[in-house]
Amino acid sequence: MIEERYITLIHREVDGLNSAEESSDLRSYLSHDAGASDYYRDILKLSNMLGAVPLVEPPLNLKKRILNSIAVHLPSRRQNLVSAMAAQFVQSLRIHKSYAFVFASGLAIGIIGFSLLDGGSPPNQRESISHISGTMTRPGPFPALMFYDQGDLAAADVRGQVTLRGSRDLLLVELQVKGGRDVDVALDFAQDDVGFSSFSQQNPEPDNLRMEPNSVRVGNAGENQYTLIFSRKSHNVVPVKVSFYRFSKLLSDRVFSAAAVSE
Amino acid sequence: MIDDEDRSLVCRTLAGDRRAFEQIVERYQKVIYNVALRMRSRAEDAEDITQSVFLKAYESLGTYKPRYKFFSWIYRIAVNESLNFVNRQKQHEELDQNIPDLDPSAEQVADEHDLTRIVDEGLMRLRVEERAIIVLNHFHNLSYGEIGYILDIPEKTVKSRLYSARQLLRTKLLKGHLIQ
Repeated sequence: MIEERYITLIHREVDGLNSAEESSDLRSYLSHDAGASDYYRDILKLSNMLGAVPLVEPPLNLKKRILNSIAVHLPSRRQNLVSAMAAQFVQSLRIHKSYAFVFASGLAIGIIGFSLLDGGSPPNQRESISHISGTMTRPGPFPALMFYDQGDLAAADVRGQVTLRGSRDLLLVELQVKGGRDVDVALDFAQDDVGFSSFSQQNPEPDNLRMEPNSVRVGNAGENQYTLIFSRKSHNVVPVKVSFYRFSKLLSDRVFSAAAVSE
Repeated sequence: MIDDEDRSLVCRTLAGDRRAFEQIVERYQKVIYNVALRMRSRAEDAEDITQSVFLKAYESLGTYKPRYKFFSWIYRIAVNESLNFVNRQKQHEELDQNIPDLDPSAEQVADEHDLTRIVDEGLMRLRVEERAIIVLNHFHNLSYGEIGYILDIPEKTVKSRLYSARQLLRTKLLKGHLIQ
């Protein structure tokens, strides 16, 4: 049976923590106790063995995976606002989450829109906020934003118009779809370029909005106007691909670009 | 020096500089991955745990107190995440207990890859708390004080747990004739 004090000294010796006197005391003890000497030898071997295990290099894509997960899991401030409002709404009125989300999105876009318009409005002049839902034909619905790109998409019985505007920090996609309700719209983008923040539609019918880290999909999108707001992460040119589908069959697609902004 | 650089990176991240956090990931992903790997012994789990550690670190970066070393703080998250992961995988943990006894030949031990495998198997036979203490002390060379902070236990407890964990691991490996 090894004395408790010497068990401690053995471990401290292996860790290099003993003083000269303690080491000398231990050596003297080990020379008289074969069991303690074996124990010391085993613990030392174990320590050397553990020390010989090399650190493993993590997979090459791990860093990217980590950074992507942070970008996806941490919503932008605007998204936080929308989520918080939706949560409050669900709690207070006990309504379905999707309705609350659409309402909260609209409200948040309204607040953002007001803050953007405020600087451009002459004092004491009332201004209609109907354009906040994203009418394509009206010139300059968001005067504080830069115009980037505009174009049409067309298939046999569906037409659409897309406008991209934005600033250094946000990208706004206005989308008008004319066609059957069975048309789905997909917006694809690089998650390093932009992150989805909020969504609103002119006809507040039940929608089928699906968000992925690198895409937003609107089901049953026909005959409606949409405004989608993204937080901008990249200062380089940001491409956004807009596609129309019917029953998963591609009808038409086109890539729109937001110009680079200065660092 | 490293501590100052870490604190600077934390401040820059909190100020909205994402590249600063990218540097934190570059700096610590290897050690965090290795903590997770030795705690779980499965590369896929270690990747998940590492990802989760950095996400947690990013989310709670505002709570980091600069008077502590950043590496201790992030190790603490790593160990907690690993322990939580292991607890969630209790069923697998029980399976681990059923691994057959170690019986490698002397030639096998000489190989670095086999050494790692044997050590991992030995570690998996310890309780997770004991495993954590061995991992931090032997693979990451942390002091008793640093381990105490990371595991939130007094230094005295670190010592007693470390000694008994070594003793247990010695017994497990002796049973497999690894230490002769």
